[in-house]
Amino acid sequence: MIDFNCFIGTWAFYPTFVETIDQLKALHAKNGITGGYVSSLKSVTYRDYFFSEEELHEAIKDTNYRHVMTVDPRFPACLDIVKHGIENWDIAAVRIVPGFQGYKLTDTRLEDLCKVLKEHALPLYITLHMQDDRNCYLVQNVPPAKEELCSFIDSHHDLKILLCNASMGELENVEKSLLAHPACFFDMSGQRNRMGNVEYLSRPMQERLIFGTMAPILSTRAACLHLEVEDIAPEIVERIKTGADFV
Amino acid sequence: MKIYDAHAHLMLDLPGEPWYHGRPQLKRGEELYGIEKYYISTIDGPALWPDEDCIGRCNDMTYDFMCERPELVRGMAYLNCRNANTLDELKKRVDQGFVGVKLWVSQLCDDPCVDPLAEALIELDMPVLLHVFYKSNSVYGDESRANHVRNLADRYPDLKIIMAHLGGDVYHAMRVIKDCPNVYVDNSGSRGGGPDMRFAYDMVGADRLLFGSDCPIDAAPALGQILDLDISDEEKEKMLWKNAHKLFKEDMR
Repeated sequence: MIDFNCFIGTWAFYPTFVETIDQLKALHAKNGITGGYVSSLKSVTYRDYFFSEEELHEAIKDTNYRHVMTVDPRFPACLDIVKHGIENWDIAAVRIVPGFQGYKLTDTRLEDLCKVLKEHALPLYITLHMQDDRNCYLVQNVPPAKEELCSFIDSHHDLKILLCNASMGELENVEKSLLAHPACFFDMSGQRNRMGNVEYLSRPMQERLIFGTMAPILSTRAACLHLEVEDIAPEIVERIKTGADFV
Repeated sequence: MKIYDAHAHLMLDLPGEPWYHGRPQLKRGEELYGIEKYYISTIDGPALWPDEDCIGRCNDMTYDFMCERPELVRGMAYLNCRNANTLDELKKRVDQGFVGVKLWVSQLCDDPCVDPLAEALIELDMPVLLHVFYKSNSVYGDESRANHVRNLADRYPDLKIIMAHLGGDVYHAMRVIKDCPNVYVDNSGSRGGGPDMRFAYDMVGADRLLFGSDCPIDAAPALGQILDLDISDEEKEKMLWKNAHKLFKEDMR
């Protein structure tokens, strides 16, 4: 089982108790997770995130974990850092956190980033929430509105997209656009807070779901529980666990 | 492991999807996660300051479910301390076998209007479950925060208090109540924050923490938070059921 949405590093607002790659690996091993696509929590709050991305690369370079670079496309050196990551760090994807960092998906500088990602066939992770939005004191997350997100998905059919930590309501809002897109996926970490988290999703939506926990920000075990106890077709569970359609 | 859910709800008269009414979700928790007991109160979501009639209908709904599933359901009487009949309503529900009281957002929990209820509950040796939340983006009715819980706990050290939702923000709340031995804490209603229970455990230890789902919210986030902890099975059992068993005097039922 692969965790396609996880982090290491220091979170600026409270201790996570899982900050190193070894701590993350131990948490994963306890839950039967054998690898991950990992990002740096520091990069969410650093202004020049080259430092934290370099640190992430050093931490995971001899592991089976893949590097998901976190960027703010408004930073003037963004594309330089992404290109450095492609050439030197073998990055597997690029993550953005627009609602938490305070910009729209319509920002033209994001379009420049998307062009680079398309050229290199790299997926874009769009993180809709970080911590519990009710408890965001210094930084208030404002996730993309329905129209904004749908419009972005609709206009980027040649870009692989992973929606991270999207709530069920947000997924319902974008379901039509998501399913019309050839490679738009979402992860487990937002699947909570209502009945029938995974088992009540339509089959086409289940086929767009991949396993991601938001660890250590969110509970790893909680994400696993859904797959263990819910009535989901075994072949779908396997696809979710391996991200077969995503990688 | 056994699981007792110390914080679950039925919802009164709400339109919308069936899962949100509570019963399907309670059944789901029972079947999928093996939850053996629910401590249930019925609330009327839109009514932040419910009148006597509304409170009566809520508690009737809980009582119906208690009668239907006596092995599964323990009733928590929902009260609004601003209503004149609060102590009469309490007596009626105690006679029906309710095991505790739930206060939501119709009064701050340290408001003087709570005092007669607190004194009655000490006499009855029954716990009170308090909705507590500290939000950055909104306040819901007269929503108590951890400092209000601390005031009540200090005023009534013999009152057994359950502070819900890890105080709504565990990092804001736990340090405030950690020195109040009469305050227990449930982890219901969170978004499943990874480090939250570890922080709560470091603050008050395993003896004062309770599993709660806040059903109709799914049980997985709160259950996962406890199962994630690197602590002994014995301590996890305390959180999952033993503390509730003791607090609600299940040996005597």
